[in-house]
Amino acid sequence: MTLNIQSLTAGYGPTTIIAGASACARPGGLTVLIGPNGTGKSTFLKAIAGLIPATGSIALCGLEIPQRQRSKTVSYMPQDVGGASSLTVLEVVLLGRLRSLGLSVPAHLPTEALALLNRFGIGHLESRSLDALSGGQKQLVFLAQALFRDPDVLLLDEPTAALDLRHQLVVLNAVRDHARERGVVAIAAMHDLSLAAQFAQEIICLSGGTVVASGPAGDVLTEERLRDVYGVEASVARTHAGFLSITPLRPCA
Amino acid sequence: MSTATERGALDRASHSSTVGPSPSGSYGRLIARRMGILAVALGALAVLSLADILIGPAFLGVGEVLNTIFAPQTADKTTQAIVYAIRLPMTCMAILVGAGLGIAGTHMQTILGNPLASPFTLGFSAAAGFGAAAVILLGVSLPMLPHLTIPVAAFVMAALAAVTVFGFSRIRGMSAEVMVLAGIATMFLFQSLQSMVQYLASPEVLQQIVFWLFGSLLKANWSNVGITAVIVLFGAVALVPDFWRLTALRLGDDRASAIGVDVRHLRMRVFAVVALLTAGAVSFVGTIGFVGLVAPHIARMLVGEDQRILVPMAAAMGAIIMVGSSIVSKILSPGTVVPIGIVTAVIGVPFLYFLILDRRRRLW
Repeated sequence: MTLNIQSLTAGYGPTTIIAGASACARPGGLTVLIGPNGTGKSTFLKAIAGLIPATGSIALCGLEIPQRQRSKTVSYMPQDVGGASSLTVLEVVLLGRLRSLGLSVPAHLPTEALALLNRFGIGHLESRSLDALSGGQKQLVFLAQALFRDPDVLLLDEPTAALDLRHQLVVLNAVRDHARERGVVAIAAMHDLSLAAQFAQEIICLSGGTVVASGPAGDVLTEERLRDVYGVEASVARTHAGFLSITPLRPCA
Repeated sequence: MSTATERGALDRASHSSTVGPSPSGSYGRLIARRMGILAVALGALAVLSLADILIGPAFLGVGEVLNTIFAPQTADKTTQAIVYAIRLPMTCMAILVGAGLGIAGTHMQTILGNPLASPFTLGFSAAAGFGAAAVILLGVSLPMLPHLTIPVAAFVMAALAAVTVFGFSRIRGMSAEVMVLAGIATMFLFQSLQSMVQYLASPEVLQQIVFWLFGSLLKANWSNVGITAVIVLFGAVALVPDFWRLTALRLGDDRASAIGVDVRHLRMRVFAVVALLTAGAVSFVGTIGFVGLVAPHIARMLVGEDQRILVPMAAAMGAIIMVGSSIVSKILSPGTVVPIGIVTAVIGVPFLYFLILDRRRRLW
């Protein structure tokens, strides 16, 4: 169930942000999207999700997914954890199954939603208002909502941005496990390259609105590429655990 | 390709590391508690409605009024006329207008994401006022239906305001910001036109215009109660299929879009229904301020943001404020009825103050 992205072009109004980007993401693991600020990672994900006008082709299993039908197969979690709402945590997660909700809520849905919240260790917050949560807790709730949709393609925009170290691991483990168990495609935009290298089965590197590299972390995260894409001198080393560790040293002159 | 519906999600639940309280029980209790609050509100509305029918300048006895309602053939004609031709239509109109404004205000605050939004925000009410004032000034009337001239003019101008705001908003993608800006501009335009009409009117005509603008239930009769009932009932049920989408919109446009809500089309549908509800509510009774702003807030503080319960609750709160105001308007000056539009804020504000001071509740 590979996701193929061909010649994707998208932007806002007259401004083109993504210019003919092509990449593919395999199911069963986490694909991490990296790139400097303003390079179009969020736009890339939104375009795949069909949330903004775009040209190019998005195909799953070789079958093109029309833009209007993407919301049925693609689940997108925005970066922003703001928004004022006094909906309870359980209600927010239930909204992930919008199409199954009517005047009455099927009895099994709250049970399943709570099980998912328990998986992230926040089941005790089920009746808490969303506004009463910290940024990290909100992030976990929205991730639970995205997983609750049970999509074929899961797109996460900086899912660990507001999280502490422990919850970064909880979230990325949960996403990776979910992708493995369900055989879905999971793409997450991230800035922490060491964390990306630890969890990614593949990395897509975006720069200037196009894909400049993709593949296993060891192939993509090289000192030369970090210099070209991020404009920094960085050290890339392998830890005792066998993961790549990227340490930025100084901006390039 | 696998689909979401083909997969059972229960197996995911087996991965739970901890077991929480009975989930369906917890959610079920929350819904039951909210339904209980709604039932209490409807009970209060029923009691207030009965009180409203019992109270009036004619000083009829309680037994006399109840006897007239439940056994009209035994009542004298004057009492029958007072109860059936004056008091019952006024109470029914108060309930309908309050419910309509409560529903319209709730939807308006939801689609605009703004706690200050109300049916008045987008200028519909100001336009209705201008329409009424203009025909009163010009002294024109519909050939076959002269008694409907003012309501029809008010309705048509409110619809024109709605089309104007809709047109501007559609050009810019139906964003909440553009809708508010176009609406406020339209409101100021029609308020200026209304002031112009009042400036040009003679003292006698000005008195009629001001009386209409105050908002009064004395204009109620069974024919306009029927028309208002059809509009309010349509407005109440038209958006029922969108309740969960509207609930999702409270998370913001991006998040609602991300879970499959077509935000632009949802706003267009809601806008059309709100315009109809507002025009229908104010056309027969005049400008009734405050109800559409405060009823949704009171309802939200009491039952949360699940629109399946919030919308009926806002309708009930709007009706309670209107009927309560109707009672006060009759008590304030014995022997006369003070225009209800003057009283609505006096009734609603203390309740809102109380809820604001209650720290357990969230405002917005």
